Amino acid sequence: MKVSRRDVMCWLGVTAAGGALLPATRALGQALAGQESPSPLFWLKGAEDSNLLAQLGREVPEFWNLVAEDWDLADYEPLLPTGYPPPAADPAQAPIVVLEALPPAAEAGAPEKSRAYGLLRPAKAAILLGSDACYGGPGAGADDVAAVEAFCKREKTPLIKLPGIPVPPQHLVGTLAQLEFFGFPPLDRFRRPVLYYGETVCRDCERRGDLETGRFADRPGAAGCLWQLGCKGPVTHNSCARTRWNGGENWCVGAGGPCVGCSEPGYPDHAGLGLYGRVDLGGATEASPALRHIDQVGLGLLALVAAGLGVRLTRRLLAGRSEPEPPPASPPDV
Amino acid sequence: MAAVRFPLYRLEGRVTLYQADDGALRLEGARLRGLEALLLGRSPQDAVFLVQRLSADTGVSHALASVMAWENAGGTGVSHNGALLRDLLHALSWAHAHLRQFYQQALPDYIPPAALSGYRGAQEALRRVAAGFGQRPEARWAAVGFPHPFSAAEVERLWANALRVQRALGLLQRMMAVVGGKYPVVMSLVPGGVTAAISRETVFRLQTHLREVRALLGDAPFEDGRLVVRRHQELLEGGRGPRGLISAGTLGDEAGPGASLFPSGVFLGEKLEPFRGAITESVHAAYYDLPSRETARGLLQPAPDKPGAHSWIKAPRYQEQVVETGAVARLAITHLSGARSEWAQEVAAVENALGMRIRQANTTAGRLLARLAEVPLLLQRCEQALHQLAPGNPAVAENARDLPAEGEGRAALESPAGTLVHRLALERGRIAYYDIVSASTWNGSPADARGAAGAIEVALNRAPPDLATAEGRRAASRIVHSFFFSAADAAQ
Repeated sequence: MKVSRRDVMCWLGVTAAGGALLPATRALGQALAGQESPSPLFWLKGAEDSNLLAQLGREVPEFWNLVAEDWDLADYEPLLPTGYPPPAADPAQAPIVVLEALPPAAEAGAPEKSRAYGLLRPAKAAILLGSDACYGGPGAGADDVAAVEAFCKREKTPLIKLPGIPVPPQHLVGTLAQLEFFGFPPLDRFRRPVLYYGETVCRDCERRGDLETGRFADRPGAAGCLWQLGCKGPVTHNSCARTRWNGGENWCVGAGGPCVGCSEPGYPDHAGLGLYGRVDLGGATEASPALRHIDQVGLGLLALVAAGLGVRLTRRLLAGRSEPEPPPASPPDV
Repeated sequence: MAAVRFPLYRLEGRVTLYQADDGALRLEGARLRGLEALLLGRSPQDAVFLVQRLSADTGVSHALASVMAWENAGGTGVSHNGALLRDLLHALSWAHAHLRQFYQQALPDYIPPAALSGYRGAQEALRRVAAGFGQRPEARWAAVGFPHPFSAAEVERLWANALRVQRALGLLQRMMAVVGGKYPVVMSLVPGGVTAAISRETVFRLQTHLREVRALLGDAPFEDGRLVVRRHQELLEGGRGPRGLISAGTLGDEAGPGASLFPSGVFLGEKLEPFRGAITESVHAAYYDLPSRETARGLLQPAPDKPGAHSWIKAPRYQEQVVETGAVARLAITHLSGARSEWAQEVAAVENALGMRIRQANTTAGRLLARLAEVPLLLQRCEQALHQLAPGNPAVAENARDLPAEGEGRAALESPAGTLVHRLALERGRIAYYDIVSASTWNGSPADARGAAGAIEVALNRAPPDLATAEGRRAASRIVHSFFFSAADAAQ
């Protein structure tokens, strides 16, 4: 099937803005798999988010044709009789390396002996998948994260972070599609694609009206904005409010669960607040709604979007709203 | 000669099998997740979210155990709607876990992806899958082949059912998202109930999804399991676990004691005993030191260099006995307790397929079939819960707002993989102690101080497969997968 860049752009818009999420994700997967010579994808599987692979396999079966090889971290120990040859990276085709688990930090010292680090050097891009891989957590040590970051900086391997617990499948498929069809995606200062992590959850929340009119839920299960119950929506950048989860069925706030900010670098401590500590909205109270402050947060981050692919999409999203300010000089330092 | 080491595929987390100097196979368990330590000093509501990081398949069970242990500390009750929604969420996550485990983790041990390559049959979806294999032959997962006993028609049937089950899994995830916000990692469990608001429309939506799931599945999963067992007669006796069985009971508790879909109980080889919670944890062969005396209630101390240790999994025992937990244990204990008549048909189906009594059925084949036999009853439980819901009524109990800042709590329930226990202590509203024993901890545990190994090592060492050969590794993999083992879940 021949796909145009225009088609891909439309589908990418849907994966960020919601709507026909599954068809768009599937179409992107098909477009990726249908290329003449796609970048080989190497995937180091993690522990608990392994459901993502299964989810992708279901929603985008073609995606499997892209995965040149996936291994468990267990394969890592040298000379294992795994029965599979080590990946032979074709020098003409720079691979894309997806790290859901991270190789032990010690391997960074001798990258020529390490399969993951050996692949990272010539890689077109390295994608850290999931909050543990991006920031450290129960699934990966903070020193492992630091080692990968330092190595990628030294070797000039572009690094992309896709945090989230779990990561929505369309974030990965969409990021790969951007890489293949449009080049390196615009990133924010935490190296997250602006397309998916450009705006706060609060901005498009279905309970936004409650925030603006000062109607707050005072106990779990009550109607109203969940800010008082510790919702991290005002400071969390992700597209959940628009795309929702599991094929657009529902999302955390939709089920009365405050956002826990799982895609932010501060997770899970959030500077001492914990997952359900109340975010300080700069003096805003129930009587003086937090509208002003939230919009400032939103605009500041929107500004980052105005590069490359982002422009047209954001214009569409922002139809009728004010134009974003020119970007500060911060897009990806590759 | 260096010992052969075999990292297991297709399970959560990493775990390696190896042959010890005495010839026995051991699980070199997992890695320390540090989750229990991470929870210290946090609010118990944080724990309800964070414990789900242990495993996707048993995450909902972990979250329920955590919130129930917290409620136990405060004596908080659960609202009528809240209990039903929890049951619904739990039963859905079980059905999802069982189906996913069989079709995506266990079945590839018996039928290689390569079996479908070259498919020219009538089914369009299968032709597309097979064509995909040809496109990228270097893709490791598609290229793996091994001899298998299935006819072309059976291969077609198993693959077609696997694709249907994938659609059913998507629907089950949507249903869980309606109640829990998203799946995996649900967001709506709080003391006293569930925060999701349930209207008539959502109940109708859930019922529609559920009907579609049942129509998609039919009795295909159990029949597929039977087909695998029929073609692999060695599974009937192979991988036999220890005699002791344990189940903490779960689902349907809100109707009062004795009303659970799965009753609790312990079978130590002779008769059914009530589950008293006499659980001890041995760290004889695990990389932990016992907590120092100053902290009466301290966590186990990680000791990565401990001599003689080979696993990060601690060894829970019931009255010092090794017990197996999981679907066979649940089914056997339900059957022995004689309380629930709706199980008779399922138990009879499993017994007929195996040709043995359910309480002796903890073999590779028995474990596979017992899990699949549970699926229809779990979906039936979902339907009952939907029927009993009172749309519009609050799903969080009123008294749930006065939670104590101090106290100790405990919850034991069944997860899809088996018995799960959470214990916590609160001080000034923060977690001062947290201890998790999950199903994979029971089954995957190393030897205790008396030298008795956990259920998986028992099963592996009945007739230890030779890890140096591909067949041996496959045999070992079949046994471990039959337990629904998750290395990520096993060490906390």
